[in-house]
Amino acid sequence: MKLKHFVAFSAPALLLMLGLLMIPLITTLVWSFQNVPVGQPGVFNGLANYAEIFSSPRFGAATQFTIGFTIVVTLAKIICGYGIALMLNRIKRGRMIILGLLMASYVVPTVIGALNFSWLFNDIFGGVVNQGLALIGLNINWLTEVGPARVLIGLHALWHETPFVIMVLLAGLATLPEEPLEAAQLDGANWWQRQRYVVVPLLGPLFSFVLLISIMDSLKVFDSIRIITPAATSLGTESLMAFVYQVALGESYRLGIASAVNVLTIILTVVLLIPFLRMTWKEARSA
Amino acid sequence: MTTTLESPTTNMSAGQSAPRTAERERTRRAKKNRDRNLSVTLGLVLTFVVVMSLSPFVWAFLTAVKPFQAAFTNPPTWVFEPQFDAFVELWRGTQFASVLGNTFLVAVLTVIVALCVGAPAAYAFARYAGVIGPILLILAVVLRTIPRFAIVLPFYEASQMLGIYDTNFALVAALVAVNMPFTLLLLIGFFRDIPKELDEAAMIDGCSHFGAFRRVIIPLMGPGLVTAGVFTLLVAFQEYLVALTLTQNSAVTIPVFIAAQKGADDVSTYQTLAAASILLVIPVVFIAIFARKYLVAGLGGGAVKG
Repeated sequence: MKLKHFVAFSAPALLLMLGLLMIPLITTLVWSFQNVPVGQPGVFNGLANYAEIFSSPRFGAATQFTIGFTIVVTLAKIICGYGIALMLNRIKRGRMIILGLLMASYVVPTVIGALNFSWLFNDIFGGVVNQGLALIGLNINWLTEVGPARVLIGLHALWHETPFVIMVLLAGLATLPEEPLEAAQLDGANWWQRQRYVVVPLLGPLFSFVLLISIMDSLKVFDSIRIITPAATSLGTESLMAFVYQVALGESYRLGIASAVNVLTIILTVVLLIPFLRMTWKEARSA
Repeated sequence: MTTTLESPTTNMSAGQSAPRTAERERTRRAKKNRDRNLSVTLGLVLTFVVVMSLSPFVWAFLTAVKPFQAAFTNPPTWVFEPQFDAFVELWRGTQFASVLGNTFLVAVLTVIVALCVGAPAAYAFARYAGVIGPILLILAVVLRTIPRFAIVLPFYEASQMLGIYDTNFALVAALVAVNMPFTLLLLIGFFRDIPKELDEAAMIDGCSHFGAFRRVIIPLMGPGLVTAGVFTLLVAFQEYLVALTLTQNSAVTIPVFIAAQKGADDVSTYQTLAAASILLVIPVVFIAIFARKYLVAGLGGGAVKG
């Protein structure tokens, strides 16, 4: 394809991305160095926004919660997801219908899923989970205590996003070559050894893909927090994005501060993305 | 992992005397039995996982059809006369119907614009050998992963200034823009699978480059376009953050409507919320089951093909 044709075919999308993605992004970057009252042009104030953020305990708490949440939820999702994918791969009948039903919690709108999920833990509705826990002598206030509220947000993420991990890994398991597995078996490798030295390395690219997506999504967690714990600030479940919303459109209209948080989140995200970007670059060049 | 795999010891003794063969036959049968038992056990475990995973929706359904008194007892009431007042109230007493209509309109417009703009560009990225393609692709990956507030807050400010805040127009523009990198990534994967020789053959036969794209490539892209379309539709339909930021009354979508109802924290709205959840969950679950093949390809962002 000639450059002329390339430009002709891609111009609408490129212009759209320039106007509606790049310009807003640059605006965010500029705002992060400005004091921006809503409806008025910003006034340059140097690094004041960043200084304010870094000295704010609330931002510190949001960062800590978000990163902790990301690590725990990502690991839990990959372990549960791989386990379920292995089981699904092993059964002979009903695999597709089970996978389809499991996908439900992933494809329903997050807002609705989070709402319905939190109801199981809500005593107003009879609190089914609490009834069960009462049998073993536990009484937990999921929606009003810091620790349980954090666990609840994590459990929701696990429930909501594990199906994605299952689906990707199952697709990988289904296309696994048989020879290395048979060879390992002939050499007397037991089940754990076959997983450890054959299957997991063969699925390596899919694991890193799932890891990447999970980290990206977890760092941006917002919807479920707004629904499950509206009082996130006092419940210790305020994520970076929930913080941004509160600062920019919730309790105040400080677009400068919110933009600075966005810029920091972008930097964090891009740093984590670098290995994946190098992979994409190589693939695109070789294609 | 099929039943034909044998343990290493029996395999080494292959081709020996008759008693050994009988023994092998026995171990083979034992293994087959074990396999069947394992399969049944795993089936039960998985069924349990499915029940757990669907329980929030089952509970929402029960809440929606319980009489008002029965819905809020603790411990829960299990025996009750089902009634459908909550569904009637949802359609008559709230704005659910008009919000649902608007959400569909927004989602469909987003899909149309995204595909019309995205398909030719994805084709160009898949075909052009120069260095611009990969650079743009990387940019698309980065743009897909950055926080949406970094894009949407400037959108908010601009839409206020232009007087298009709280309109479908602004919402569709934002949704198309935020999802464009993803649409491109998805479509590029599919265009790569179509051999270049087809374009060349069409052009030798007298098609222009655009003609080749429209007459030869697009018809072959059916599955890719459906995947990207179904995907963009689901994503646009369920988008909360963007719609929350850019709408207030007239362009509100379902997730914003539901979150606002929930935010009112009024016990009387809980049953209508449950009814709304069920009405929305059922079609989505059907799509998940029947469009599973497309979903696998789409969710994998082109990285995994189902």
